[in-house]
Amino acid sequence: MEMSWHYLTQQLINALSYGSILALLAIGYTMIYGILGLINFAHGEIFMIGAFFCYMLVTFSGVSFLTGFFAAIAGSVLTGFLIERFVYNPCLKRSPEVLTVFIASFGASLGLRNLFTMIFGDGRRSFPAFDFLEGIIITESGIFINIKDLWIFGVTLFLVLATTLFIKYTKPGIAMRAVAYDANAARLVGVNSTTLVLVAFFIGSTLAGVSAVAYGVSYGIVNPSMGYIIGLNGFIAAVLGGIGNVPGAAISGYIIGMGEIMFVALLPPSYSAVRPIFVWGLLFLILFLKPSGLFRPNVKIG
Amino acid sequence: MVAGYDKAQVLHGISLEVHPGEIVALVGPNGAGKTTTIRCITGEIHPMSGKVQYNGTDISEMPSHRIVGTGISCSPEGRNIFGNLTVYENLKMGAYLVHGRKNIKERISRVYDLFPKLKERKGQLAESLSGGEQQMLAIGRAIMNEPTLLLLDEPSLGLAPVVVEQIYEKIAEIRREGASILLVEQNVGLALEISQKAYVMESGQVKLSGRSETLEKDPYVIDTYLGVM
Repeated sequence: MEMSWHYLTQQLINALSYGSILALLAIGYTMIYGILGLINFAHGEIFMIGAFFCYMLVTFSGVSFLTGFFAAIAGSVLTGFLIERFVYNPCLKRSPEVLTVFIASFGASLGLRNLFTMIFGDGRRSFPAFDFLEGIIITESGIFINIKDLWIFGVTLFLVLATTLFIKYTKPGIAMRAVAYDANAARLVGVNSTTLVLVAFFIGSTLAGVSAVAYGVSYGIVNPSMGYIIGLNGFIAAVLGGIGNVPGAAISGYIIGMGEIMFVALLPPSYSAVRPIFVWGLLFLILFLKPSGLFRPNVKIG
Repeated sequence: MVAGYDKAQVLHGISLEVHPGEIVALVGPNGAGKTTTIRCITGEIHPMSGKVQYNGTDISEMPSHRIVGTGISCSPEGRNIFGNLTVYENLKMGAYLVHGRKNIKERISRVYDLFPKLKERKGQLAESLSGGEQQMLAIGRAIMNEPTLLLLDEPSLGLAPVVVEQIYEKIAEIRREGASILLVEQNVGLALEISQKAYVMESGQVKLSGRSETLEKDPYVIDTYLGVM
């Protein structure tokens, strides 16, 4: 086997975008889980709809990249709010049992995916390319670095940092951690969690929208089921990172992203079709060895 | 007031009053309905019939996050501090409805004066505190709101006698600063000693009530709770 340092580095660089996409998604899962105590299975569709907003506007109305970028965020946030308002809110009010909400969440995911398949068909559509994102840097040692990967990594890093600071130092951020730990005690000091739930959906969906643009730019395609597998991977990253832990989720997004790319890179090509096994195997290992995740979760344990 | 959970009625018509500046003790055995009474006042549950009035306003149907704003704070049973937050962040949460950075800072330093231990541990996660320190934190968090009525649910629960004594000294100090206190205790002797008025609850009803010094000498109370040899 000719597994050189050069080859490995190249693979890690290639994983930068994929890791960033997962990191941004994982933060959304972890924030919403932290505050609502539920897995938002429709998060992958919040991501997909953001991508479609950007794709539609840029392709059919010829708007600039920046407008498309904000349109993706707007599409994701809108979807997030609608899901909160019409699925989780009534569900939690009427029967706050985990199973009910879990099924509702699953239903919202399937429903949205199928709605978009009905409208757009399940074929892949090509996501527009943008000049300033094109181009490759070749280092002296012969490593190829895509300009767009650098952009995606840079923007992600900035957003992860901003969200982490928000959670750590601002009043709503501290309150969100408090609610995640003990919602009743938080009410007793005056926290109205309804507002905080919306804040969590806003931030989570915004990051999903950015992640969606990163996906479009990176893979050049959009389709209605694009959020399915990648959403599950983002969720696994959130579990790996310790539920409710924002930087933990982001770091785990990169761990899974890089792990998955390495899994494909190090094994013969015929194995690349089973790459989901790597991710699910990893999830199994975490649940088995360290159910609370690699980093400190923000929820009460045991 | 009548209250309970779903179909299980816990309180069978009780009535109690707390006047400004006094410590009122609510004592009785496990399951008497003491905590349920507290939860009716904090709005965690709403009475099935009857009213909770505070300064002349009916707060029976108010959600708990709004009741805090009227000046009622609670240090709940089992303390319920935010274990994933630091001591400092817990205190900040206690002032969630308080505006003004300077104001909050002053209140935090007042809590630190009252409980110097908390100052030493301000950067530590609340989970890592000892039981006594967690109780101090729960009380400190509750007084960050500068309540006019402070509800203390079993502040001595699971603590060593020396620590209980320290905490009771602080409770007396908080009262001297002007708050009225409704104190739920299983340790009847301790509660009667610090309070001016007391209610003895049994199976969801008020069995006895009156001045604490009178109750201390009541044969029934002595027989049942103070355990004279």
